[in-house]
Amino acid sequence: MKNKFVALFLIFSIILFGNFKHIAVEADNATTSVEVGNTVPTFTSGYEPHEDPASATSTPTNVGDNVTFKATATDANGDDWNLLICSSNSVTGVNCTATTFCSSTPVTSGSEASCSRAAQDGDAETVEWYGFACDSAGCSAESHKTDDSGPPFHVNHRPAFSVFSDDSPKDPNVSVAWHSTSSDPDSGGSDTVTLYVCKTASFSTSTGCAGGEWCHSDPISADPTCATTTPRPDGDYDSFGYVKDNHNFASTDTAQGTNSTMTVSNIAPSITASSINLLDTDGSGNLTLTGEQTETPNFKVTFIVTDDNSCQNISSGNEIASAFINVRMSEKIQTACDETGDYDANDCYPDASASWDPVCAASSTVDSCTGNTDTSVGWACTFPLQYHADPTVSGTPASSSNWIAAVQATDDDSANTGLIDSTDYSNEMDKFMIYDLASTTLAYGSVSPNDNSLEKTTTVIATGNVGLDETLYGTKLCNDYPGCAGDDDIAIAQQVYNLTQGQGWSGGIALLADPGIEVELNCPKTTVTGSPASTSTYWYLHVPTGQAVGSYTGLDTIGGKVDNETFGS
Amino acid sequence: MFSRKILVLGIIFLISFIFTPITWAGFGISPPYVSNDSLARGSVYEKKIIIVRGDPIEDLKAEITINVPGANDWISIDKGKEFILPKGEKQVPIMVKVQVPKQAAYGAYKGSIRIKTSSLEALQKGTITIALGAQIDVDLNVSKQKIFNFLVRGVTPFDAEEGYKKWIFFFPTKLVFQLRIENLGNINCRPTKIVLDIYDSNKVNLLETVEASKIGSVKPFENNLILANFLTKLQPGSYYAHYKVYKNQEIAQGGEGEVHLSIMPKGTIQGYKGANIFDLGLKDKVIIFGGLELILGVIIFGAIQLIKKFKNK
Repeated sequence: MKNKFVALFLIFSIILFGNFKHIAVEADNATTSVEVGNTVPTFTSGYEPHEDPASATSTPTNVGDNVTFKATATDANGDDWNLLICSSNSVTGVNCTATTFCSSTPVTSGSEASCSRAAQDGDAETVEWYGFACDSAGCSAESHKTDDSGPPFHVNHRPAFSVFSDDSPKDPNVSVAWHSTSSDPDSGGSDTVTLYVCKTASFSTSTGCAGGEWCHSDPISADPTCATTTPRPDGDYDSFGYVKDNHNFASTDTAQGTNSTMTVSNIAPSITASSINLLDTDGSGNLTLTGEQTETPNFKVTFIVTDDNSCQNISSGNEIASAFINVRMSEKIQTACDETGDYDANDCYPDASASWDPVCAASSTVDSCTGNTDTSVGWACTFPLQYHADPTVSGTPASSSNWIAAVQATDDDSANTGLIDSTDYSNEMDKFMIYDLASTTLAYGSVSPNDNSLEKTTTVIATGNVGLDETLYGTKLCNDYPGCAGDDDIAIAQQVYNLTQGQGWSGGIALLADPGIEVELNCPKTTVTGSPASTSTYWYLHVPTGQAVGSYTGLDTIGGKVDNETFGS
Repeated sequence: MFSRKILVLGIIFLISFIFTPITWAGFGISPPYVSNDSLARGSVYEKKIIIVRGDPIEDLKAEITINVPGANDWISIDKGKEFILPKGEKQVPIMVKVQVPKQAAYGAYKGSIRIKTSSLEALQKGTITIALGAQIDVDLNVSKQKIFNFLVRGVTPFDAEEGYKKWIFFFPTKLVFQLRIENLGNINCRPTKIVLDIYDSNKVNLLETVEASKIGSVKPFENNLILANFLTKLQPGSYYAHYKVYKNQEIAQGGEGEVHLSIMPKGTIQGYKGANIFDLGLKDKVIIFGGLELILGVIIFGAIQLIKKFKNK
């Protein structure tokens, strides 16, 4: 507009100045006149209108981006000129007859002009254009370069992306695939689309998934899919789908960035029987009781739980949530020792019983959990056994049996292994020979010479897991014990014992000196925890005639031993 | 009201007095035997026996008497024949050691070891005190035969990492199994061989059969852990192995079962020691050791030349 005013001003000035001069020289000079015609600008060869950068098949302009046109022209009149890009090869005056794509600002003759036009969704994949150099009076003939930078310019449209889905739920560590309904509306450049599945809702066409990628497809003309191997921990995993074309142009359709949650199914854990070890308190050898008339703690069952969901859950906690054990003698079948009513301290310890309290926990010493690709983890349960748990070693009534552990583990989704019996690494219960005495003295009281004492009793109580016999021996009784230097001692044989009550001194068996003799006491094995079995021995003392008055002291020994003959029965 | 309460308490007291078992002393041993039927001349067998007391309110003197005709001199107790059972200690372990002379007669030796206790205090005057004791049954047999016999008491595989390639060498996956072996024989024992049939996680496809490349051993009569190494090409994943532990041509008792294997990606297991150059294949070993020999040869040759030059000067 400013240029137009300048032009008009000049024209008026010429007219006015011309008239004035004409008046001034009218009398002296002949009249001459000239009219300089306008010439439209012409493009400089090699600098005809072109796209910069070239918008070509391989380098199309994404919708929204500008196509920039450039050219250089000269005007014979020295006028400024401007670049005009039209949709058709036709101008009316200095304007496009059809659609004006863009028009540059006027530049001086010989200078480069440029203008831009944004590619639009509504554009065809290729758009023809026509370039003109115009001054105030008119425009040049259409011109353009003929290489890739010449018309048409190429428009790259965003890919369409309407559906994003996956084929889960799937088991752990198997193939899972994501599917898309997507395509590229363009075709001129063998256009393709690629699906990216990201772990977080963050995606860049240049760098891909920012928070980790599940998978991406190969470039394909439509409906790309991609697959990966499912993680092991069960649960739901975010999976955000993104589609871009081969020109790194991302879709903005509704499915872009949506979350198609991948679900990994829970698989029940399992235990191999060979992994179950029933161990003594020190980890090796037979089960050995050491608690007198009480429980011996810290026996151990170790086992390995296998879970396809790995040892770690989706929250990095323990996949295996709990475990329990039932411990029994093998004479009993598994189902005979799995309920609270089955508890029998002799041969059955079910977890269900309140009388028994094993403690189970994951154990890295048995098998460590190294992460969510590790499919096994060790567990250890410690438990007590009562003092009268039946022995199974050689030389016992149950020597054809052994002790076994049934084990069950449960994962964090309450799926369990079922009860699995130990097989190869069950164990034997050893003999535990121990006894109590109801009294540790024999108080015969006051006995006259040539008289017998009243019957006294020693009672052996079986506080281990075997029946008992006893070895008896003693010392002579003397009034200067332990020296016994005098000649008025009472001989050992004056004490007699009998396994039957009320037999009197004459019916008894004379006590011997060390090493004494084994007495077939046949004290039964205890079978009821709170009521230990016991058997008594009955004693008399005969004070010989003429025995000096005094207070006599002595030492008798009761040695416990296993009743190997009848096992206390 | 007050007198009624006293009456009730009195009745409760009487009942308790009557029915509560009064026990004074518990004494015993676990286990109550020393038994070995495969002793060899010159062999040594040890058995731990735990002396148990129910209420160790005072120190007691323990006296040991060994009565195994023909073998009394072979048997010793680590604590000697007299020792103190300390006050407060409910369990006192003793080690019974049987050291068979090289000239011992073959055959059975049966008898007992008796433990007798007595108080360190003077006996109460005018009473007959009862001392406690226990008998360890002894049943030994000296055999002419060298007995190779063992039980497998446990098999545990450790997690392993996948093998890897370094330069041109492939370092295989190294599986390590821990076995608890109870040597029942009278010579050092090592399983004759251990074989793994490795299946996929579904236990359907047999992937590899491998034999242990290295197996530890256990001394006579001991119950110990040994390690066995296996080299495989397994990739990371979950597998099952059917193992067979051989005693000569037969599978040892407890020597067959199934375990789960977890092979982890390289670098996953902290402190994991995988295969080393000694675990490489024969071809790789030849390349490495051949190369080393060549280098060594060149060095020695160079050194000899230098020495010659030095001498000539």
